[in-house]
Formats: sequence, structure tokens, C-alpha cells
Amino acid sequence: MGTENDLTVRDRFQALLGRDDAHLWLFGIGAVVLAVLPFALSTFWTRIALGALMWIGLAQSWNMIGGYAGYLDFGHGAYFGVGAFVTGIVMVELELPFVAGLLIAGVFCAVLAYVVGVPTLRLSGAYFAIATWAFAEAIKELALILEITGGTYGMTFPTGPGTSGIPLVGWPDEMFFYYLMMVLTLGTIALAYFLFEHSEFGFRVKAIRDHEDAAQSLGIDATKIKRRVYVISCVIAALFGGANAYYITFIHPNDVLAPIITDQMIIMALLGGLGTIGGPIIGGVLIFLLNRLSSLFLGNTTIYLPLIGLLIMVTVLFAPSGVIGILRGEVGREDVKQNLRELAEKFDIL
Amino acid sequence: MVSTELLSQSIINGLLLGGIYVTVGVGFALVFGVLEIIDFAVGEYVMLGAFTGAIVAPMVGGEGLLVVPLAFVAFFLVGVVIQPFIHHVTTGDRPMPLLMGLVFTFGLATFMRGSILTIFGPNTRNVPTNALSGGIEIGGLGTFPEVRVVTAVVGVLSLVAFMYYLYRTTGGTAIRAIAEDRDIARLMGVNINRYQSIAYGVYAGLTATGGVFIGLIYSAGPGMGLQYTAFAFFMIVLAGLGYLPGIIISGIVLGLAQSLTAVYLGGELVFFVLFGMIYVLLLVRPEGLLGKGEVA
Amino acid sequence: MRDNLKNTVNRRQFTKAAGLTGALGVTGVAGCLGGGSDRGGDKFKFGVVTSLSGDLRFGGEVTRRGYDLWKKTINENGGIEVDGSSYEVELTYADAKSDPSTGADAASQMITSEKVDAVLGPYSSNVTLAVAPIMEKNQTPHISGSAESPRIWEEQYKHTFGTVPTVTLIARQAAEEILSLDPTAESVYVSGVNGPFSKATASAMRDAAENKGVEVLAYDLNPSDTDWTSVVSSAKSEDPDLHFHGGHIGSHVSLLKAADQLNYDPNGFFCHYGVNTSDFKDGLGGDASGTFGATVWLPSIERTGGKLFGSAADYAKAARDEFDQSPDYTQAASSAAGIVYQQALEELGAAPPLSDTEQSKLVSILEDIEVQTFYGDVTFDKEGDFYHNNTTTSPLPVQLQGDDDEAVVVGSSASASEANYPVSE
Repeated sequence: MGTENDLTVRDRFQALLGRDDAHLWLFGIGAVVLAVLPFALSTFWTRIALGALMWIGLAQSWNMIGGYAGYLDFGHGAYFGVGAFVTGIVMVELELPFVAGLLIAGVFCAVLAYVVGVPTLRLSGAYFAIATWAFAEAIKELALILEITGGTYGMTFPTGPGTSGIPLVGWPDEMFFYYLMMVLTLGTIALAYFLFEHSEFGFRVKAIRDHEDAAQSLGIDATKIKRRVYVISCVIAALFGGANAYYITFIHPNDVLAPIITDQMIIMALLGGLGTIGGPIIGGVLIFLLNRLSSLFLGNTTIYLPLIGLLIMVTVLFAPSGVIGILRGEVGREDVKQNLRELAEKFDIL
Repeated sequence: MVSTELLSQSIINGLLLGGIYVTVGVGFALVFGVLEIIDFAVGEYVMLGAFTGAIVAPMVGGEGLLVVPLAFVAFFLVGVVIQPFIHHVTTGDRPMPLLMGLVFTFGLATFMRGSILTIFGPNTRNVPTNALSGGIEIGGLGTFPEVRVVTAVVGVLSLVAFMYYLYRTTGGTAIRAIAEDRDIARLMGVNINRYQSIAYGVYAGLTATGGVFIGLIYSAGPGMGLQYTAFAFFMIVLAGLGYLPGIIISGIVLGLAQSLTAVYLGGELVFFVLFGMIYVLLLVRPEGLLGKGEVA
Repeated sequence: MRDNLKNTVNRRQFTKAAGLTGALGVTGVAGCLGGGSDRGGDKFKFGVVTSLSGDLRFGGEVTRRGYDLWKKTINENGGIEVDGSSYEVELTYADAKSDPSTGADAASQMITSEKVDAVLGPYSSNVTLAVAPIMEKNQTPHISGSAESPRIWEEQYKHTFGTVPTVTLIARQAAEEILSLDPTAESVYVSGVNGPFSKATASAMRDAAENKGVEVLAYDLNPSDTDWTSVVSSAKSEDPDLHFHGGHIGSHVSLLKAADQLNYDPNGFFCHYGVNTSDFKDGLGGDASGTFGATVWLPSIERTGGKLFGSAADYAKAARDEFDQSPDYTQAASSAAGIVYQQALEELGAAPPLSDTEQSKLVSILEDIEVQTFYGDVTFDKEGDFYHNNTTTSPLPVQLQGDDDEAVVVGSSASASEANYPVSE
């Protein structure tokens, strides 16, 4: 990069961020880089990379309902978990291959999201947020008492050659899961891009987010559109849930239905930059790597936990529009100073 | 014990459990219901209060109740200092001010929980008390555990005191004015920073006080906060946002549902029934149980 | 917002963006290099996957103390002796956060990045169940010093071993002894947490009572953070002779406090796991005395072995000197897991780092191993429901007695003390 002329680099960067055809280029280059990446990585780092890909996809799926439609879904993780269990039940009880499990999980969660969405999307703001939260907690508790999910003993997936149902795949190893996650994640990003940034549909969604009543008076069927966004975003979470379950091979309600799954998606989307394509990508990668690598490499104490908390607080304080704001250069020395001045004023409490 | 006594005992258990939830909900009703701060650190104030009880009580003769005033004052001050940060991230030209508060307090909660785990280790700690032990048996009705009765009474009293402050004093009027419309309040000459800090301080102090009592009832541990964060949100939304007396009702409903489910339907089902009920209640009563909350 | 963006990207901002992208890139590259790092051959290197944070952080801390003490002691003795030369031991830790997917990544890290010779196992059955398949795939030996859940051994993992007998055995044998105390109990109320380990514990307690012909008044499972007054009230109205409870320490503390608050007073409480830990005693303040528990090891116990630590008492002293508190059986079993490796490596006779074939050979040696340690005799089952679990070390019922709440053995064994039963305050 350093050998190139400053002006052209800058122009290209500008073009990449600003022009639509350039978005396609960026996506294409990204896809090629991702496709060759595992050949340069050890098994362990392939795992880390595929984990990061999954969380990008999950953050993006939350961003669809939370960022673009403006509905704070605090129960999104429920679909991640339900997707995992449906995939598992299909594989264990019906003895079908993984692909079938994943497809059935997707369909099941589409129906579930539709049924849940109809009454729940009538709520808004905090009421919607808390209702979805309670729904997700209830689903977790249900999975803990049902027989078919393995209850509190959890569920072990079939492994080995032939369980994937995909021709030419032998023993599903890290490489397989890497490409699986890559396809799902790139698909999610492409879908989000065309749906929300590049179509009539996206404008309607954003119109509803910004002024639901006004949008409705313009003849936009808000109910239907919100429901569609909800169902799509939930199905994506379910697909990741199924893929992740087959990858980890053991699932338990306390893990795949834990509230922290939803919390992480929200924090990634918000900290990256809400309602943008790039935000969840950046937020997903950074938060996942920070979290996972610190617990693995600094894992002989727990000091990394408060440090992560502190880092999140500082980022919010100084990067008002998320990490994507830092990338856009909105956080210069002057901005930080201005920020500190404004913060100091708020301490005028006497 | 005959079965009617088990029923009345379960009702007592449920009501007193509701009292515990009220102590967590009182302060939160103000910051979430009135000031609209989505505070994910609420349960961590409970945890910090309980830990304060566990650490300080042995220094004051092993009496946890003596820690209560200290916990209130200490966390009032902590809250006063934290609020300007939250105020800062939830205002200004930020794209999603309310949500930035959510992320900030999520970071704050992680920081608090991680610090306590790292400094004090993973152990469960006892919060001792000599004044309150055992229960008072009332023939035909059941047993009233002393520490739980005191907790419930404190919860309800702090709600009453709180409402008095909010509706009968200048400070309270200022806080309500800010909640109504920040700009108009500013034009009326209200020092926004000051009253928001006081309000958040009172919330932090009350919640930590609730934490001392919860420590007395159960124990203190670094991971205990998460559960109360969820309950605080459920309490306030069931009560109806901004409608303070509603939290007594939601406390009673949650407490009774939990206790009766455990005894009559089976312990395993407790949280499934409870969370399922909250979900359904929100669908049919979107403005809280009494229908008196604000439509968000 | 995008229009705005188009016009505002200038040089300064670009530099910054490039800087950040660069920083990320460097992290990535460092990662790749780290992935290929070679290790010195002068030490045996063990990976430890345990949970220092998350729900099961207390147990994680206990296992860590066990592994650390083994390492410290063996290195003071010069290390593991192979063919006349000695090799020190190195431990490298990762925090699995009580989360299976973090645990699985940690296992992979240990094998492919850290290139460890063998792995010491996680705490919590969920993490173990996610780690074990990775050990299978990489054919890396793996001993857990704490796993008690029967579920792990049912999976028949070839490369995973455990030094603590499954709770199915511990809880059942201890429960049967407690039920035989005089006056013999006629009824028992069984409660437990609806978790994988806890449910297995509670159901073993129930089986014990049914075997002994004692009436089981209820088998009452609850979420771990439920309010236990409901259970106590139901139990009180049933009025059992004994109350058995399966769960982790936090739930014992909450249950016993609720019992105290509601004046519920059966002849005794038997709780498992963790009665004989500082966590349990701290949690109850001074009120822990009288509680029954189960163990496979105590500082005062007489065991045959003497490898590395001369006796149980020697081990307890070393542990107290190091950590300022008495060890419990999970800590002892974790240290014993290290001693088992030590013996197996001596038998293998290969210098570090171990090749893949040597690792496989180590697994075969572990299958047939017999070690006499301060913790007891350790061997691993070769078939059946407890495949690769050490079922040799025998469980004992204990009771916390006296002001300092030291656990003493009760029941029918030769060394047993008199039980405080029915428990009086």
C-alpha cells in the first residue's frame, strides 16, 4: 500500500466507500481473500476465523431488525438456539443428514418467527424489546424441560463422514465449517445490502423506522414489511445456530439459548455502527476477536473481563457513531477534546 | 402441615419474594421508566450492594443491617459520578442516543462484574446478621422469615418515600420536568445535570441497598447480578413504564406466580411459566398490568 | 449519511483508517506466525482448559489450584524422569468461560498453536463434552481432574480420562451410608438443580433411597437460581427424616438459608457437590456445621500411595502452604491427574515434545495404568458406562463438624467418626 501514490489510494478508498459498483468490487475482493484465507491459517486460526465470520453474520442479522427496522429485538438469540435444536433433532431423531436438518430448521424458524411476529410486532419500543426478551427466556426454559432436546443433559450431534449430506465432503473438519460459515455470512451481507441499501423495500423499511405513522399514511403496509424483516432476520440466526451446533457437536440450552448470545449481537451491531452494512462486520470481528482471544491467551486470570468492559465504555464515549465512525475519521484529536469538554460540562452538578 | 397451610405458606413466600423484586425495581422505575436510561448495570448494583454487605459487615460486629445506610450513601455517590457519563453518551449529535446508553452500561456491567470476580475471587460469601434469623410462626398461616419480611417492608417504604420525593418536593418536580421535556425544563431554569445525577444516584443507592438485603437473604457472589438485571426490566415493563405504583403489582404477580408454580406445577417449570406469562401479559396488556404505563 | 461521507474523506481520515486496518492486519499476521510457533524440547508442556469465569468459575479455580500444585511440586523435584534425564513441566492456561464453544477453541489452540504434549481437562461437563471430540480428532490424551458427570463416559471417548469417580457412584454410595445412620431414616425428600451434573446427582440419591427401601417423598428439580423457599415449604409440609440435595455450592447455600428462614429442620441435610469447600463454608457463615456431604478424599485419609506426595496429609500441608486453605477432593483429584501423566510418561520413556505416535502410545499406557497416589489408587475402566473413568477410588460420606467446620468421615468404615445425627445445633 505504501508504494502507491497517495492521491490514487485516497480516491480509491473514497470510491470504495461511496460508489455502488465499488461496493461490489469490495465485496468481490473480500470474498476472494476469504476464500484463500484458510490455506494460510493453522487449524486453530481457521476456527477463530470461522467464529468471526459467524458473529459477523449474526450481528448483521440482528442489524436487519434492530438497525434497519428499528425494532430492538432482545430475543433474537432464541432463533439461534431453536435453529440449533431443530437441526439436532432432525439429525438425531430422524437420522437425516446435516443439510436436511439445516433446511428444516430454517423453515421451522420462518414459521415460528411469523407466528411470533404477528402479535409481538404490534408492540413497539421498550415493550417490544422486553417482550422478545421474555419470549427468549421462556424458550430456553422450555428446552431445559423437554425430552426431545435432551433437557438439561443437552444433545450430542452425529459426527463423521456421511453425516453432512453434502457430496464430496468426507469428515466435516474445520475447512468445511469455514466455508460453510463463509457462504452463510457472505450471503447474509449480500442479502442485507440488496434488501436494505439497494431496493425499494429498503427505503420502506427505513421510512417505517424513522416515522412509522407517516410511512403508513403514504400507503406503506408497515405491518407486513416489519414482519418480513423479522422473519428474514430470524431465519438467518437459525441457520447460523444449526451450522454452529453441528460444528461444536454438543449443544445445551444454557449455552446456545443463553441471553449473552443476543447481547453480543446487539453490542456488535451497535458498537460497529447500527443500520449500516459495514458496522456489524467491523463490530462482529472486533468484539469476537477481543473476547475470544483474550480468554484464550490471557486466560490464566480474569483481568481481561473488566478491561473489555472499560474498552466498550471508552469506545462509546469517544466514538459516537461506533467503530465505523473511527474508520471514517470522525474521531480525531479535536473531536476527542471536544468530547471531553462536553463531558466535563455535565459534571457541573452543584 | 395440612394442605391449606401449604397454600397460605406459598402465598406468603410469593408475596415476600415479590417484596425482594420491588427493592430491585424501585430505583430502576425511575431511571428506565422516567429518565429512559436503558441501564444494563442494574443487577450489578445489586451484586455490589451484596458484596459491600459481605465485606463490611464483619467489620461492624457481623451485623449486615448496619451496612445498609453506608451502602446507600456510597452508591449514591457512585451514581452521581457515573450519571454524567451516561448523560453524555445519550445526548449530543449521536445517531442512536438511547442505544448508546445501553452499550455503555453493558460495558459498565462487564467492568463491575469482572472487577469483583478478579479482585475477590469466585467464592460465594455470606452476609451475616444477628438481628434477623429464622422465621416467626403464625398458627394456621405459616412461617414469616424475618429477613424477608424486613426486606419487603423496606422495599415498599422506599417506594413510598420515593413517590413522595417525586411528587411533593422541588427536586422531584424538577426530575419529572426533565423526564417530560429536557429543553423546556432547561428553559425553566432547571439544572439538568444536577437533578439527573441526583436521580441516578438515588437509583444506584436504592438498588445497592436492595442488594444488601438480597445478600442477607441468599448470599453474595460475583455472578448474581445478571438474574436481577432481567427481573428489573420485566418488573418495570409489567408495571407500565413511568407508572411507579405499578411495580408493587408486578412484584406481587411475579412473586406469586413463581411460588405457586413451584409448589403446585413443579419446580422445573417455574421460569418457563414465569417468562411465558410475562410475554403473554405484554401482548395482551401492552401498557402494563394496570394499563397505566406510557406507550413507548 | 452516505452523501455526507463521500465528501468528507480526506487525507487525515484516510491515514487513520489505514492505520486501523493495518493494526488489524498485523494482529492477523502475528496470529498466523503464532500458529506455527515451535516449542522447546526441554519441558513437557500441558494445556489446561478450565473455566475461571462464567457460571462454574468456582470449580474452575479449584482445578487450577490442583494442577498448579502438581506442577510446582514436580518441578521442585526436578521434573519428570525419562530414561535418566529429567524434564520440567510447563502449564499453559485458557479460560473456557464455562462455555463449550470457547472450550472447543481452547482445545484446538492447545493442540495446534501451543503444541502441547497432553491436555488437562476442563471443569463442567458441557465444556468437557465440547472438548472431548477435538481430542478424538487430534488423538491427544486428555485427563480431567474434576469431571463427575456420567454423561461424559457414556460417550466412550477413547482419548478422555477422568480421575474422579462419576457422581452416580459417589452420591449413591454416600447416600446409602447416610441412610443407614441410626436411627434409620424412613423417608427422604430429594431436591436438586435441573443441570446436567446436579440432576445426575439427585437421581443417584433417589436411587440410593429406593435401593434401601426408604420412602422418597418427592424428587423436586428446580432451576439453579430459583427461590428455594418453595422447595423448603413443600418439603416442610412432607416432613421427611432426611433431605438430600444435588447441585452446586450456590444452590446449597440458598437452600439451607431458606430452610433456616422457614424453620425447616429435618434430621439432616446431605448436599453434593462441595460441602467440604471454603466456598460452601464462606457462603453459610458459621451455619455450615452438621451438613452431610460426599467425598473420595480427605486430608486425614489413609491411602496406599506415595508418588510425589508421601501421603494425604503431606499433600494437604503442601496445599495449605501454597493457597492458605485446605484442599478438597476435586483439587486432590486434579493433582492426581498430573501424577497419572507423570507415571504414564515415565512408562512411555519418550522425551518431549511427544510425536503423534508417542501421544497415541501414551493413551494406550493410560488405559492400563495403575498408580498409587496420596489420592488413592487410580485405574481407568476399559468398558461399560464408566469407560475411562477412575472408579477405583472409593467414595465416603462426610459431615462438617465443630466450630471450624472440618469434614470428618462418618458411616460404617473403620476410620469413621461418630456422626452428629439427628443433627443438633
